Amino acid sequence: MKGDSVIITASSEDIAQIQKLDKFSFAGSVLSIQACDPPSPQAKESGEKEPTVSQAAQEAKDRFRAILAARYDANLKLLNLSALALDAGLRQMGVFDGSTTTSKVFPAMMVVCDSLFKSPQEKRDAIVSVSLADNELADVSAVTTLAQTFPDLKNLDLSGNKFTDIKNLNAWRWKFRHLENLVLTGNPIESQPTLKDELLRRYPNLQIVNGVTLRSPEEIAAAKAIAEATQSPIPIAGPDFRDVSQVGENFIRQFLPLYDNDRSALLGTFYDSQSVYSLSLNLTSPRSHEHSVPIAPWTSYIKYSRNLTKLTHLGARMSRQHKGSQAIQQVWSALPPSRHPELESHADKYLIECHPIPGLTDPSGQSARGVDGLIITMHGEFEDQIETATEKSLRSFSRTFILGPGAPGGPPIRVVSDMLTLRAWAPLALPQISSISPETQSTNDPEQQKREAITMQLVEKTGMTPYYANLCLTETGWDIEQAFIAFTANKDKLPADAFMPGVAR
Amino acid sequence: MANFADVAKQFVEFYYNQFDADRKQLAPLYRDNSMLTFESASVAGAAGIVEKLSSLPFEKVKHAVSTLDAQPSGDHGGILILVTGALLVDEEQRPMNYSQTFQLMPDGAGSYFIYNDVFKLVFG
Repeated sequence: MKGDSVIITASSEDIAQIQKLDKFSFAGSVLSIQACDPPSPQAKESGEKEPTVSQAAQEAKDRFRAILAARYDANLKLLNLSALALDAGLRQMGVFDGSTTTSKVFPAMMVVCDSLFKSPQEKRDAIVSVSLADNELADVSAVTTLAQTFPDLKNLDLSGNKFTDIKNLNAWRWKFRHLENLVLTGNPIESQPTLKDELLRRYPNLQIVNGVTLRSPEEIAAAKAIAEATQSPIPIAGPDFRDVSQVGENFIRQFLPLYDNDRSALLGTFYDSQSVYSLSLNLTSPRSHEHSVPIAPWTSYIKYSRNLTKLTHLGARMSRQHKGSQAIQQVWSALPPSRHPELESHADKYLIECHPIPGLTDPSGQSARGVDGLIITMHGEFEDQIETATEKSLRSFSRTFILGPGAPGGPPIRVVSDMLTLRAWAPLALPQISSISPETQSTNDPEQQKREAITMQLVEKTGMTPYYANLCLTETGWDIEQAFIAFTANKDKLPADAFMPGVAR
Repeated sequence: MANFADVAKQFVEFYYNQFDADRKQLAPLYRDNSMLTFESASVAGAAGIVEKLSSLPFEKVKHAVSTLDAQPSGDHGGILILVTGALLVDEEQRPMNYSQTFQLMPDGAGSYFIYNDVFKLVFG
């Protein structure tokens, strides 16, 4: 002891935990906890560190431990932190003598809580439920650290508090991803009609609110399957045509059927002696397990593949780049016949972007700084028919075109470059439409009525129950077309009760 | 004349190594007349492009190039590059297919810069 300070020895693991109590107010005075740095000479010799913790802090920690132990039910794996203000032990410590103290005592208690477990797994196993009932909480700011200490909580009781609005729970908006059961009875918020929907949206695994089961684990799994099919960490944009006089659009509209039906006519229409074509195969593209349709052999394509990460021989590199419509014709006539989905009726099977680019070679030789053209990137799928194979095989592709004005006497628009990459089939990423605003509307709201109408349309189209139709639409931003696509992609995975009785799937 | 296929290969290796290590440092590869189109959002100019790339909603990122094809482009020594590959971001376990088209132009000092860059995620 030195004056009002105490020097204690603690293991290096404990130092961090103990230091979290620094600056906490205890019994009217503010605690100051510092690690001794540099250590005293003796400590150096013995290789030990000696942080300073006031005796009061250590006592507080021990008392917290005792209080937590008394409030823990090992059978229920429940930590009952209800009515903390009435706790005799806490009152004895004098921590509840002012209205602001909850904000200090609770984090301190959570720190002590954390220190009781050796690993997150041990903590998960010991405590699955927490009650914070009857704590006069108007929002969760004072107790927000609960989410850090128990991120994997399954049951949470917040009954008998003073929450008036879902916003009071916003600090936990993205926490408790494993929460299954939430109690909010005895709060003013309880009477809000939109509360349950909003909670279900916030907590992906939530099943029971105020003792009422709102969805089953199977329903949650089905919703996840839909969400997985429609989401990626990078938002995916839909087709985008920044075209010039519809040149790009018209090119694609003519290109697809001609490539399938008459490749030499296509070459005559859009290619000339300067057009360059090359093809490469991506044999390692990732596919999720549900898309593991058999891959037809690549035999007919492999000898043309110009993948420069694999191909190092200069001769092979040059011979697999085809310049001029005659050379391209030789390759195209050797490739299997193809069938692309019709663009008008299957727009969802394509992702196409088109942008103007300047600086192309002027085929008439008049402009030294070049002429303007278009760069088109197109992603999609096609079927091919290999002679030896009995079935048509589906493949995915990415193709980049550079279009420019044609040379005098040639086609008015020509393909300057055409680069094609093929890979095993997998469905295209669906464009993500930003999700609906979290604020929900009452049923008198025209927006809500519109949604109900859309929901019924989807019910009619798919035979799903209104509940599932609603889920599906929520995931797809209330775009009925996208919802239908998501449904089609996932209908095999939906449980039987996702469908209206008597509907053939 | 530099072999455009080797230039393309070296460029792609450099670009993705730098992107995965620290994409804020990609500015020297772009110029004020460069254009990036990332998931249909277009940005012009090196500063804007790097700002856009830095603001993408992930911290960790790893590109794995599966195919690389390149063609000479134009009379001025330009190179057109089409890359397809797989992308892993942050803690996401499923790799995503992407496709990226670059148009490189010589900078007049013996090196190249990215004139056009079109990125697209093609499968979820």
